[in-house]
Amino acid sequence: MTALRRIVIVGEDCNAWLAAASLKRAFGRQGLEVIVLVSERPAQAAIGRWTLPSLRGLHSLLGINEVEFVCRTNATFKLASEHRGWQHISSRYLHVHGDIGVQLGGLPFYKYLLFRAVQGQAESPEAYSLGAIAARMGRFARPTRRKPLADSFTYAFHVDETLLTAYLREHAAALGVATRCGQVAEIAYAEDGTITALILGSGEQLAGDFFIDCSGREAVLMSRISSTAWEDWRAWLPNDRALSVRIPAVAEPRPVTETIARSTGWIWRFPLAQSAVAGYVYCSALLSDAQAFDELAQLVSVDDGETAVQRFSQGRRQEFWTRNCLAIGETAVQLEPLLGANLHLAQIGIGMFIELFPVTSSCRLEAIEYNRFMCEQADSLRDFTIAHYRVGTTITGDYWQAIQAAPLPARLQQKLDLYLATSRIHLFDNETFDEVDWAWVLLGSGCVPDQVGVHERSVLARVNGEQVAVLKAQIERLAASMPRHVDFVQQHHKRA
Amino acid sequence: MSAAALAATLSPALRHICLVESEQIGTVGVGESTIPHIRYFNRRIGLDERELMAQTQATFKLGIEFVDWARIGDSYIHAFGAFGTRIGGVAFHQHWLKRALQGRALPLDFYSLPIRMARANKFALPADDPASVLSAYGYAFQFDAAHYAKYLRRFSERLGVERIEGKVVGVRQRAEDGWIESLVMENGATIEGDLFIDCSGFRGLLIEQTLKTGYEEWTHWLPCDRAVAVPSEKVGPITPYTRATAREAGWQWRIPLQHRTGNGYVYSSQFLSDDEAAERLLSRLDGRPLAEPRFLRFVAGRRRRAWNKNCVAIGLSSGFLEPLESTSIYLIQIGITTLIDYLTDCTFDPRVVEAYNRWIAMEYDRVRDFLILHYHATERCDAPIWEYCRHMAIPDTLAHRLELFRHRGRHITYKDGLFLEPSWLCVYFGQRVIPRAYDPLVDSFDDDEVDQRMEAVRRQIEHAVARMPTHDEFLRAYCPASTTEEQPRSVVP
Repeated sequence: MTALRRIVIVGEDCNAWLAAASLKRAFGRQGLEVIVLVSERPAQAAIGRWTLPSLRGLHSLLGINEVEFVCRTNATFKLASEHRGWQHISSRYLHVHGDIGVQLGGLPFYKYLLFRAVQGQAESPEAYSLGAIAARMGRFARPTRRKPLADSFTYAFHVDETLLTAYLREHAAALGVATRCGQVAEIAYAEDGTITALILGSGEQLAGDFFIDCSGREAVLMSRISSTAWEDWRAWLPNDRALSVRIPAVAEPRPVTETIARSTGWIWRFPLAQSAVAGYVYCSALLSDAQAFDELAQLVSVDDGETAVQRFSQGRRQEFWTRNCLAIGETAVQLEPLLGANLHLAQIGIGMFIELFPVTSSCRLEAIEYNRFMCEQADSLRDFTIAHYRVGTTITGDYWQAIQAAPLPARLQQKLDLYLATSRIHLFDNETFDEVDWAWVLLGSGCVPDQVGVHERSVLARVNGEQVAVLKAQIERLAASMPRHVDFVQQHHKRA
Repeated sequence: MSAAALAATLSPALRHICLVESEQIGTVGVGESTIPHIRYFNRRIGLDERELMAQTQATFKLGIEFVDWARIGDSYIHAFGAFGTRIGGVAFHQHWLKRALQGRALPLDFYSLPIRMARANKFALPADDPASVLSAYGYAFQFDAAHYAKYLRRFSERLGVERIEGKVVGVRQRAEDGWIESLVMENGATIEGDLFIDCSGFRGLLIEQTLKTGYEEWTHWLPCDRAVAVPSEKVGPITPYTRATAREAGWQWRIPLQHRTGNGYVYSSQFLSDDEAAERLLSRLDGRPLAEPRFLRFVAGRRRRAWNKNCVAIGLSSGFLEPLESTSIYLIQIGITTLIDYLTDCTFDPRVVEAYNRWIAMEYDRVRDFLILHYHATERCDAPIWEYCRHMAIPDTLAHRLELFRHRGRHITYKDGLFLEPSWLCVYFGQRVIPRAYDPLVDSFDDDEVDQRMEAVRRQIEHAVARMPTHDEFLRAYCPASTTEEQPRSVVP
């Protein structure tokens, strides 16, 4: 029997169901009761989202079958993001979920590319990445260890948000998660300030030992019990609106999320199995919703499609866990979807809560540790997002110039300083993205360091150019042998 | 170590290395105990491990035995390896903890291969198969530091390092910014350089005496400020571990080499006089002393900046942390390898210098916290030093870590810096920091199934240890001490 017998989750977005299912699966055997309180008026969500490869780990944790997941969420696969126009009007680069080349003399391959770039022979990393070539060709297969290089990439998903939420809800229910319907009218507290029950609009009391706030921006519980401030990220990340629209399916969908930088934000687009989704993330002070819609309509066919607008304000809560209440999802962190990392962050948050699941009714120490860990996680995602706007950019205009002018967060400044001076990419504790992810963005955006380390220079000067050319050809061949992404997706949907 | 690493990793076109050394100024080393990281260093610069061991009277080290730390009569081993393996994604020690709190657990040591090997005086090299329990440990060396230095000197000279014998009597600095231009030698010669590496030891000839960099003192957390060392005759089987015994004013080390044993007493001058310390040390040797005791003075702490202008302090000139966890050579290693990683040219970009200093400071701070844990987590009240340490305020970073472990056995991991979870666990449990509760996830597993898996691990370890040769047998076959000084035959690629 755990120290908590009943957990009440407020909210009904995919974070809420993910939290409910994960907790029930971890502690259900010990009799933990999980109840989700859904309101009758859910907040509007985006029409679709892209994820990170880490979602696959969650599948195995929750016992979700991936084929079924793909079918039920109308999903396609994602090998990379393509960022267009972020440096100048015609710039474009891929950020692939995978390696660049192979190790050379004990050094990562991207060092070789940086070494050459410093000498004025810059080259895109894409030719050395199976994931990139496959993405460009519109091909996809799952990684396998059976052939060399064939496991040098991983993948994520593009999913329909409504279907994802419904699927996770169903999964949670199957695991034994209960659902109640109602609005929180009041909160009942114990003497020490912990929540004892939620009093609903109907007068009904919903008692619990622990409460998770997944109510999104509204922060139904956190806004009432937590006095701690909100950390504002708008100086770096001023976007506060996300428009999304469903658009017709494209003929040859690539396993790629496209983003296109605009004068006041960025537009995105990705395929689903039966349709596609596009959107615009922008700053409402500089662009009205109607203007955003018009601008999007010039790029994609938005006729009669389903649309959604979300409002947000980028930043994070200073404390995610206060007494017996935990914030997950947008209640905790609001970050634009550029990295596709929001569901990942919720997943990390739920995972850490399970690891720090209270052992007694007092959870002060757990809260301190959770907050320390999650703030580092959130800040590292913030920093990586900011980096996309700041490296190699020559775009002018009020929006871009204001972003460029803001002094960087200290850790990001340190990271970029060290990179520019030595080509080293330093990761701090608890970062989601790896060295190679930074390499994709830094190389892709043409951000060349001043110098490569003297030791690395002596190793890289000995690299055999022929070996590198062979690698390129090998990757090309391997990519060409992969099935077309569209076929791979359709096959899935047939199998189910 | 610095000269050898620079010479071995930088191409000759990029460097000219000059080592200034004085025979008049002695080195400290009696016997030096290392941690497994030294093997990466040796491999990186291309040293042959067997030859190195034979040349330095080296023995294998699986860990450190801590005697009398939490209570008089206690003994635990901090070994280079984990306890068991994760079961169902939950740390092994959490499953064990549940059983311990229910009073039905075997000692945790039974699930650690290197601890069982050490207790049995056995040794074998780890297996190659990473999935096998027999590969889940590391090893280090106990060697004669003076021999190691000589060996590296020969290695460096062969790679073209110029060695200049003599004493530095002056340092010339650039008028405009204080950068070091040259060293003035006793014979009047001057030695110019772009980068000066200060390996002059605790006094910090360049970093402190010349550049006045400043020092952050940690005496309030690590009160020992003296050591007395003496070698003694070898007795009995050679233990594959170092011993650190808590004493009335500090602790005593015992480091077995192939030909003799290194001993020392690290103490606080506040609680013990030099004469008393030497006397106590001599009375507690297990073999006849082979030399007069030698004294050392130090102040625990760290240089405020390891890299200042065009001078980098490596080793004791960059800080002093007592050798309780054998970190001295590690800190030298990290200083020089990080420097090599960060060097781009001779302009010494301030962005690089800052990053280097942050890194070195982080390394020192993390080792410091780990050392403080040994002193603080004690129940001893038989001597003023232990009374003091038990009640002293500890760094916030350590306080949170310790409190969370005590609360629920949760270890806080970090990515960089020394000492991973197994090390912290050894010391927590060894120092009687017993958590009040275990991870609740453990209760989601079937008890019998977990019991069986734990028992399987224990049996596998016992069988493996039984089949291993003794440490003495292994040494005789693998790397008997060489009587001649050989030129290092190792080749740099």
